[in-house]
Amino acid sequence: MANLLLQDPFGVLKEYPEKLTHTLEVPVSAVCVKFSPRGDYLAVGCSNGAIIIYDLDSLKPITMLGTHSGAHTRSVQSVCWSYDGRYLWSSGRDWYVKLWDMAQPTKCFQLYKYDGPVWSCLAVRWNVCIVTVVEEQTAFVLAFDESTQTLSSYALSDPEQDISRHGYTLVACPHPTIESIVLTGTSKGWISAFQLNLDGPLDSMRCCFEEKIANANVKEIIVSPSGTRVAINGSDRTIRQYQMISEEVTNDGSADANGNTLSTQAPSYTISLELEHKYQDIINRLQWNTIIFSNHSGEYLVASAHGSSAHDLYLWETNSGTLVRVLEGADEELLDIDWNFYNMRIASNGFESGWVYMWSIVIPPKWSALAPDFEEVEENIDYQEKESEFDVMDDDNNLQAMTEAEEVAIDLCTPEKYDVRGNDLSVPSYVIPIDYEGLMVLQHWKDLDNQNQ
Amino acid sequence: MLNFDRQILSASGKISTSCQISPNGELIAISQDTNILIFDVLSSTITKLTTTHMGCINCLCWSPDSKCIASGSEDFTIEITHVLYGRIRRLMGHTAPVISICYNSRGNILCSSSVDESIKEWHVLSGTALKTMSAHSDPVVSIDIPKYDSSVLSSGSYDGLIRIFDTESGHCLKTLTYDKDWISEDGVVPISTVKFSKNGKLLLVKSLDNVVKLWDYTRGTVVRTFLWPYQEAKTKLKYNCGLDLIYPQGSDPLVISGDDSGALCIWNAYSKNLVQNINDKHRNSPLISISASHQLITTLSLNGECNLFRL
Repeated sequence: MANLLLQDPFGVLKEYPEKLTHTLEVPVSAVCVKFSPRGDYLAVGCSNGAIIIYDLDSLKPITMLGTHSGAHTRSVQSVCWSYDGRYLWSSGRDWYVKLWDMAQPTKCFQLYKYDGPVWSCLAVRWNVCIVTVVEEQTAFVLAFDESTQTLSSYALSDPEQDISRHGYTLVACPHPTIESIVLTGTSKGWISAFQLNLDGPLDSMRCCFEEKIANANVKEIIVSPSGTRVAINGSDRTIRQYQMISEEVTNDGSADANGNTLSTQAPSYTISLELEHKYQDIINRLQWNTIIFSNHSGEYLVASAHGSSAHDLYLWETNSGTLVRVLEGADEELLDIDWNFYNMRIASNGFESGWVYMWSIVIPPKWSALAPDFEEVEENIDYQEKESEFDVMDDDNNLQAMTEAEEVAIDLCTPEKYDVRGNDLSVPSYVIPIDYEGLMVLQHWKDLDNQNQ
Repeated sequence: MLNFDRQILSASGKISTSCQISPNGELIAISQDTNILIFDVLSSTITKLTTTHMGCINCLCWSPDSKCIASGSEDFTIEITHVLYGRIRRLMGHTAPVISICYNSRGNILCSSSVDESIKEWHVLSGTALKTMSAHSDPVVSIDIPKYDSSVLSSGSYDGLIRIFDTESGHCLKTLTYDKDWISEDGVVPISTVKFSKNGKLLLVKSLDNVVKLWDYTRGTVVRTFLWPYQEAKTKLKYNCGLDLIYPQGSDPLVISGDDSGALCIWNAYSKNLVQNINDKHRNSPLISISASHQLITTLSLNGECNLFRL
């Protein structure tokens, strides 16, 4: 990872990556990409069911989930890391959702089979994930119970809600700041918000918002990391951006009178959406494949466009709704997008080659760092000698300055809490163990090969 | 205060250059010619790991998972040896003896510095060199990466410069020198050891005039200077003589440094007060390596004597 503190602050604090810097030539076609929360690894789900984890320090694969048999037997539709980067959820067209423990990447930790190809899985906690399945009325909550060591699935529905007119639930998105809230979108343009009972019985949930926003499939819902902005990608070729207000409602017991099983301690929320902008490709009327927000309140929105003519990622400023940047460099249609705010990289996979492209902030080398007496200037300047420049420094003064410098309080132990971009450095970062046994086996095969020759 | 625990090895006459406590505090690796001795702290047993080095080992470094030891040698190569499985990787690419090696915090990258004046980054899993940083004009004798922040690497060289590099791009980010006086009448003062503080915010530097300075490297100022008691003005050490930081539980961090007569000095890192002076061990043999971790401190002198201290 690049250092931020000693670099040019204007370079480091750029709000979005600008340049295509890396291309990962994934051997099998990539379908979905996801950075680990701290930006150390990139999980790539492939069309043949493999999941490859790339180490971003070396840009080389560090492990493959499930080794030779592959993670799934058909295309991987989505992958999602747990908060600490230790666990990974994956869903595939082989009807399975799998949970992987990075301590043992070659072995599937848990798996669950649904009644159809699984579109997406999104982790709420390390052991709870929201799943959407093809041609199912509702989304599902899939939870791993540590005491029984089993996965159980619950339909995400409220008995009081009439969902017959909603169509199939296609997409879901957990609320980034309130972990008990999940947004879902259906094939008929309905958006709902459910409140889960994460610390109680998981099958008791409550719908706290529903609204029809369009007469089209909802293809994707995203929420900005601060939880204040929502963007909905619809199949009517429009991205709708909303201001989301999530208000806590004090429980005065009336909720229980409605037959609600939510415990009185757990706060309940009301959600409201207010339309801010609509984004459309006015000229080509293209569909949008994937969308993603930038950090904090989502000041930028990035989207990839459908169709062989579109090769770029579009980046809008969300306050004004204006297009500010087109991320170029990939010569093909781009599908999935992920943006990590620790390493400030955007990754996207190409439709034709199946490669993964990464855009980063490029900070030019500071040559004056090599010689501290030198200073870089924009253009030649006429040097004016300062009055005191060649004065012999008074030794006493010098000594005093040095003694003063040696009296400041210092701290050798406490690590920094936030990086210069405002990312929380206390977020744990799980280190995937190096597979020494695998290395030894490979080495042994190589040695045998050499002997035979 | 350090309390003498036991002598791990007595003076053997074999060439020992490095002792390192493993990150989990259970094992101590000591180099001896081309072999690595592993001392188990709990059971007090020593096992010997052989390497395929053709020349003496100059430096050792444990992988963060405490499972592997990397060794840099006079024969220009680096080997990674697994404690149970034996040799895992041999890294070739330096064109002169390897003097210092260092893992990053995730253990996927190994950095090395050499008499060939370069610093190299290696990918451990594939054994390939990722990048070479050439910015010194004399042997680079010491490198370090902070435990909590693998984004920077510090290097100290006989050319008298301390440089900070970005580990991702390989660019030099900062150069620390002894102000304007770093070229004194009798030449530059070569740097012998650099060591980051635990949080990666400060850098402890020892030079061959036996002065230890603590730098605030982001601001480029010296914030503490540790002077050897009763030292003549123009001391010149021949060896690096060891340097490390000790983090006692519940009290201020300590700085431990050795000299070429086998004596050890321990200062309070915050107040600069001399806490302890140990000069009854390592009889007249220069100290060559000091490692502190988990309330344990090991010291090694050139004649092969290795001692274990506890806080």
